[in-house]
This record gives sequence, C-alpha cells and structure tokens, in this order.
Amino acid sequence: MESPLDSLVRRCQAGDEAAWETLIRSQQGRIFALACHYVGDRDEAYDLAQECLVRIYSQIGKLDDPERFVSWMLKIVRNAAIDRSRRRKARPPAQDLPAEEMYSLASEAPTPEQDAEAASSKRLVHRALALLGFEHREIVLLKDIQGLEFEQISELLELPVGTLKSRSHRARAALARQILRLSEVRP
Amino acid sequence: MNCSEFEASLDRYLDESLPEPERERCDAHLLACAGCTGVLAALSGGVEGAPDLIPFLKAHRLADGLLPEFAQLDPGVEFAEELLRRTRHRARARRARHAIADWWVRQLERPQFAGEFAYALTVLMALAVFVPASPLAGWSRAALDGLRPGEVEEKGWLEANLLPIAAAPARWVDVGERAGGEVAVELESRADALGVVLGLGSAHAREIADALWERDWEALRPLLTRMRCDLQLMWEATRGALSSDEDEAFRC
Repeated sequence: MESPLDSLVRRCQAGDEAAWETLIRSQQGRIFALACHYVGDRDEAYDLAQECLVRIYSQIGKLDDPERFVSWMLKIVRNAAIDRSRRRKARPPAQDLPAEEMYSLASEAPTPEQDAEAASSKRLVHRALALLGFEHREIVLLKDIQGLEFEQISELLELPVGTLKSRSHRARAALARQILRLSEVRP
Repeated sequence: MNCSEFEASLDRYLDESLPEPERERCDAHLLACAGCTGVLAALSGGVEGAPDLIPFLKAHRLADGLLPEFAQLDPGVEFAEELLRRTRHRARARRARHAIADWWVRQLERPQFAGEFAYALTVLMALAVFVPASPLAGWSRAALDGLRPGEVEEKGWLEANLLPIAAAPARWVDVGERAGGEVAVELESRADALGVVLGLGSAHAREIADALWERDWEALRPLLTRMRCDLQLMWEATRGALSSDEDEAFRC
C-alpha cells in the first residue's frame, strides 16, 4: 500500500502545487538539519537547503519510483553540500557550530532540573558527534539520525551494505567513546 | 569481527593496548554481541585498570536516545514562503507547458485534425505569399522567378552584350556619314560585316532587332535560337577561308 509520502510525491509529479507546499513543510526540517550537519554553518545551510529544494522541484518529475524519494532527496542534499564544500575549501563540517546554534535545547522535561540535564546531554552528544571523522559522522547522520535503512544508504553512498554495517558499528563505538571522554572532562 | 576473534584480542582489550582500529572493531562487536559483552563485564570487574564497560554502554544508550532528535531542524517560518516564491514562477511555466501539451494531445486524437491542419496551413501560406503587405510577398516573386532558372540571367546577359552589338552598325554608319571619305567607307563596310554576322540581312534579322529594342524577351528567345543556327552555319561555311586569327576573332 502506498505511503502518504509516496502519494504526496506522486501528486507533486503531476504538478499539484498544494502537494508541493505540503511536501516542503514536511521535509524542510530534515533537509535543513542535513545541510547544517554537512556545511556546519546555519546561513550557508539555509541557502543550500533552498537550492536543493528548488532542484528537487525541477527534477521530481524525473524520479521513476516515489518510494525512492527520501534517498533521492538526501542524495541531492549530500552532493550539493559536498560540491559547495569543495568550492570553498571547507572547514570540517559541523565542527564549528555549537549545539546551541543548531538546536533548541529545551525539552519537555517536567522540571527545570530535568530540562537542564536533558539539554546538557543533547549538547554532549552533539559535541561528541562533531568530533567524529567525516565517514563516521556521515554514517551516524544517515543511519541513526535520519533513520535510513542500510540498503538506502548503500544506494546513496554507493558502498556495499556489509561495509556500511561495519562502519556504522565502528562509528557508534567511536561516538560512545567520545561521549565518555567529554563527560570525563566536563566540569 | 566474530566472537573467537574478539576472544583472541580480549587480553589486550582489557589492557587497553590494542591499536585504535582494532579496538574500534572490538567495540563494534561488543555492541552487537550480548555474550561477549557479558564476558567482558564479568572480567573487567576483576581486572585492575580495565576499561569500565558499563559507562561505555551507557554512553551508547544515551546517543541511541538522543540522535533521532537531531533529524529535524527548524529553518524558520520564512523558509517555506521564500521557497514557494522561488518555485511559483516555475510552476506557472510548467502549467503552461502542460496545458499546451494537453491541447496538442487532444487535437491529435481527433480524426478530422489532419484535414483541418492542412486547410489552415494552406490558408496561412496563401495569405503570407499573396497579400502584398506580407513580408513574404517579395520572397514569393523571387521564388517564382527561381522556378524559371536561367531567364533572369539570360535577360541580363542579352542586355549587356547583344544590345550594344545590335546598335553598333547604326552607330558606325552614323559616324561614317558624319566623317565622310575613307572613314565612312571603312565603317560602312564593318557595319555590313557585322550585319551579316548578326544575320541582319536575313528574313528574321529585323525581327531580332525589333525584339531587342523593345525588350520583348518572349519573342526574342525563338529568334535567337534560329540566329544561333544561322551563325553556326555561316561559321562552318566560312571557316575554311579564314585565317586562324580571324577565326578566333569571329568566335569571340
């Protein structure tokens, strides 16, 4: 049975402007987050996300299978981000941007103490993520943050699933170690 | 890495003496294998200085819980509005393209479309070619002239070459009469010679001269054909008596 997203994509392919607006509003957060992780600068990520969505709008008619929309969309963002980084000889992405600038660290915790603890944990994980190498950070980004299946990531990165699985395990272990290290040095 | 490979590295893992890539592989195996994690937890409790597995797994669980929260990031309320503005004009162009394509498809599916199209095309062509104000009117005349190759060039050639020749005897005679004496005799003689060459003494010579002077090209064409035959015959008859220079001059 067709998912709501697939149906939305089909309507966009047929030129339905209302569907396009719905698609933008449902995917803009995801695309912007991904762009932020890749380019590490909020303003640049904003431009990049706009550019990618315009490209998606122009090319969505060429997408054969709406089920592949998510990986196709993320591939457009990834390629555009890498192109942009190469053009400006980028600093390592996502390392200079503090978590406070990227995320609202407020949570729905019932008490201020719990809220502060949640924000602190989020900041800690974000910092640990920023300390990973590009390959490890990317696999965490796609697998654990964006929730893609290994098959989708394989299509996106053009790597075998086995390689991605072992890379993912190593990346998660490296992330846990960074979290431990940062929590030891944290005041 | 499988369980036996992990076991082989276990001592050095506990000593923290494994190289970084090897240790990462062990970590990855531990995260996926509850059996080895249990063994390690039991062993590490009794080994002084061994890495503490419990905090490691806690850190792993912390990341597990928080990472999905990084999937979305609000770009601000103006993001979608700005994007919609950018895509709106593209949408209009796309709608227009779709409308035109749909119209053509509908027309092509109608059986009478071919006849209507041919009729409309014929009317348009006729208007374009025959209405005097049309920019193609001049083109149509040129195209019609082009259908009769050679005529335009022939007219030009005749005007440039034959008219002076036809006029020459009269001019020479006129000059000779005014000059008198030997010049008159000489020029009359040349005028007579040229008249013979042009066939002016024959029955159709006068008609050729009239047609040339009146620029009646339709009448001139058959007359010239006959004159060419006369000239050919005359040349054939006289070539034996001509010197090579005279023969060349005659041909020129």
